[in-house]
Amino acid sequence: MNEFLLGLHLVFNIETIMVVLAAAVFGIFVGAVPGLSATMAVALLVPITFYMDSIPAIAAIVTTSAMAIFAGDIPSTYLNIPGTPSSAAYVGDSYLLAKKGRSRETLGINLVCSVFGGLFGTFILIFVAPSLAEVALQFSSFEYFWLALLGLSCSIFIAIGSRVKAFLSLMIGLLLSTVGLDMMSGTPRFIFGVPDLMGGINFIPVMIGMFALKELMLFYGSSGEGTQLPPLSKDSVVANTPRHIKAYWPNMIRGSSIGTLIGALPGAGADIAAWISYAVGKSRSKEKHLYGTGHIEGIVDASSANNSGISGAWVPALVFGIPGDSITAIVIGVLYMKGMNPGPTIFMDGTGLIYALFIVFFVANLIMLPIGFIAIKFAKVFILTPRKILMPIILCFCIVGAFSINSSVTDVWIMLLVGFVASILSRCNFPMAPAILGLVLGATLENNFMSSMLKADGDIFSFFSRPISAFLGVLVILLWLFPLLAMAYKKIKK
Amino acid sequence: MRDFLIGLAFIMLGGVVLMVASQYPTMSSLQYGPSLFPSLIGGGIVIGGLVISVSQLHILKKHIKEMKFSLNKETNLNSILMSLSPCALMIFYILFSEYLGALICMSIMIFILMIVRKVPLIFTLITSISSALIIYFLFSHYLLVPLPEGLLDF
Amino acid sequence: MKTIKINKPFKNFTTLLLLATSSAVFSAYPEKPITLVVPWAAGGGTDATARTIASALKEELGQNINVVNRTGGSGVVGHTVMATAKPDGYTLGLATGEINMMHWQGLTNLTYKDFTPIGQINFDYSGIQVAANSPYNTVQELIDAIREQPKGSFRNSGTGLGGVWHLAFAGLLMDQGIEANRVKFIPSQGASPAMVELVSGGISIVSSSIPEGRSMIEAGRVKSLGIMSPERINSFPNVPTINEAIGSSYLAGEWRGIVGPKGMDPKIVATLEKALKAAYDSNIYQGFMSKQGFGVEWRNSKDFAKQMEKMDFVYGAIVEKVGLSK
Repeated sequence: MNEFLLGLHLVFNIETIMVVLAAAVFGIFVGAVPGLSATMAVALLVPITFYMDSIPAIAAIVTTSAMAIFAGDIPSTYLNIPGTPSSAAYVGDSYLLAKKGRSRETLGINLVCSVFGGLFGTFILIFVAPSLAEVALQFSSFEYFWLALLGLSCSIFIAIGSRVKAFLSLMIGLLLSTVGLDMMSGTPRFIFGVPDLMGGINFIPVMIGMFALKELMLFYGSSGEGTQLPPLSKDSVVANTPRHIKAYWPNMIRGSSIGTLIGALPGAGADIAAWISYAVGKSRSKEKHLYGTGHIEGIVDASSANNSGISGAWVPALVFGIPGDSITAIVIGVLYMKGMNPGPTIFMDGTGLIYALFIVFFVANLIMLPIGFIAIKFAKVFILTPRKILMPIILCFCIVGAFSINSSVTDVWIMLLVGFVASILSRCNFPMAPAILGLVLGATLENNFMSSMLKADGDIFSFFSRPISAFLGVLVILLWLFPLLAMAYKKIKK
Repeated sequence: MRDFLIGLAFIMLGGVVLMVASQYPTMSSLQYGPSLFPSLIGGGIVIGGLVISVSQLHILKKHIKEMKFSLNKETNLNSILMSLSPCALMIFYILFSEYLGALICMSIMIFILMIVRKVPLIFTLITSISSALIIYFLFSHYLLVPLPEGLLDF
Repeated sequence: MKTIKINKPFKNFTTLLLLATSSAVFSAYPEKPITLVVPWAAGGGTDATARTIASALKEELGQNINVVNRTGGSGVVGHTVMATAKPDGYTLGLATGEINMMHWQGLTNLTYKDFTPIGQINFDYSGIQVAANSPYNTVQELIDAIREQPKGSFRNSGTGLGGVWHLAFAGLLMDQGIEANRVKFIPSQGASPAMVELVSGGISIVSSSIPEGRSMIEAGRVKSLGIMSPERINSFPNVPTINEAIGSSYLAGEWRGIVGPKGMDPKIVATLEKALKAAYDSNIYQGFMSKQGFGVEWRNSKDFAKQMEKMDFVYGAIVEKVGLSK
């Protein structure tokens, strides 16, 4: 109890609260700007946290990452450009809803789901972290291979339109992921003599190119004002939220559980969580056909999952010092720098630091409600500003955003080339989202496959020899066979 | 027709990937070399491209019969060129930002893009310079991103 | 140097000249913020070391030091950026031992000769870690088992193929007269994913610095059997050295140091060397490193150059024998 009071004292002081507020605004900004991601926001924070005490430093990171993941939905709703890769799974749904004049309603339910997901993940983190981390430690390269394959398969099966085109889009993403030094052998692949490509292709310039540059080219290619979104007069942020919660609360709980679990697995983060949750939601829904056409239900699934994934990623990070995603990979370094060494000792050091950390999670997620609400209100600038003024500014943000990842123009080139190809492909109705997931998961898929094969001396059956691995493997195979089985069933019935 | 050409392009891309991948070394310490995944991906792209092209063949035949070869009626050359303007400006930034500096480059880009959309001149001038200034200071002074300074030294 | 020694009057003259002009040219250095390139990701051990030394160096030089992470390609990208920067003293880098290995494997043409050494600030020795439920409790038992059991029954990880911890362990095996490929090396993206594989039973040994496995060791999941250092390290006093365990004087590990591009002005190097030594001795740096359990080892510009040359030779031989050289 005494420790808990100490923790309260560490959080509820002027400095920490100011930091949380500033970080919240920063997170909203970063998330809402196409071209900056939550991971980058945290990386940009590291030099600043260097001069802070441990709790404000962690508060800044937790708040920024949670906010950025939510705010990524704002440009995807208004501009059809996902702010962070975690929003890419349902960018189509959000934008179609906005076109119907329901942008604020969409963002409202997004906000509620994000807060719910974040809090859900926090509860798991506080109460079952050690046992969940235990589960996460059962995962070796075999399990990760299947998990990556599961995520990639989901992206094809939830795609609207031609599956072949979704598959080709995925292949493009996977191809991009092989650029750079191969982790297993150290061989440089597809780098064409450019040293900057040795490190591989970052997904941020690719994502900006695929979504933002495509929209820009579409706008300047058309003579009109482009897609004009309906005015906001009848659109309310909160009016329909209770109705949606009543209809979709099981989706919120399911999405949050999936998100926390996937987030807790080292090497799988909020983006994969959003995809898998969306796919699971679609397969379980009574209104499957509405997914992808501007349907709230899918947004509920995925947006609960990505925020709970952010909290879930802290589970292995705190218990074993193993990062659950790219954000906690940075966090662990900050924790060490602040003398809060992750590991079992962090739970019993008696200074209240761990309680302060948990309280920070609650504060960060709760503060999202008012700040997010204000952000949604402010986001009307996206509608009020004429596109002919907005678009040039977005172009500049894209360039600067791509540049800032590595402080190098190579990333701007990548954005340009990928955007150019993507705009041709999307005119031919290729979905772009699978390519993003392919790029994010490609290395996980390949490296885990390769090291599994190496460990098992090339024995394919070893992929089914561990219980969790066998379960995931069968799941993936069933997912692939399902359309075939369904077709066969229909034929027999006829 | 369009899909048929895209299919062909994918088959070619897949072929190139397969070819490049086949040149990667195999190592004695690893049974499966770095070429395995790129080869699988290349193969996948070829197959996907084939499926698309073949599925378009009957449509293509019909087109040939009716001698309809127009690629896309509604897009004219002018709008295609206009749609490339963001790309062109991006290349301009890449080439000149080191010399002119990010601030000047961005102002010019915003200015051009607004002028082509017939935004009033005074308004364009003010917006392009002020928004470029805001973006520049946000990134270089608050996020500590080393944007090129160029001619202006601040 | 030689010509100056012969012409003493000339030397004095130049010194005078330098003194006269230095107020205008050199004493001004540094007159604007310095960029410190780190070839590894934000939040990692190298990054933390860089940020700490940067904040200590800032006190000495009175200018901001901006730490920039240029990651990727097992360090190739960041080291290339350092080597190709303008040698004006405003772009420095935290180089790591990888520059002694990468060129042997044909990853890059960069060698230690492409850098101006300023000072070595850290050295971490390689530890040998196994899962807590592993039947081996000493390095001797492990080495014997590797010798007796069939080839390939042990799997080691901790870094990418040809990375420092891979070569350190391969070198130890060769030192013990065992072929390096008796233990199969499974590449990983770093020590922490390797630790997960170790605990989930995918591999049997992780060679990495001990602080990298600290949380797993404290959680009772991993035990460290030995360290390839000349004496026990303060942060893990219970871990015996290789010399104590098996009587071998083999040493291996990763050095980190501040470097600049080739061709820097010797005056600037001297200024930086002096400031770096003071920063190295500062409480900020020493306190941080001892709290982390990272090893501190100082070498000035000249010794650092010699060290790089020596390590280059050592690792070249190991890379050759492991069969990775190109």
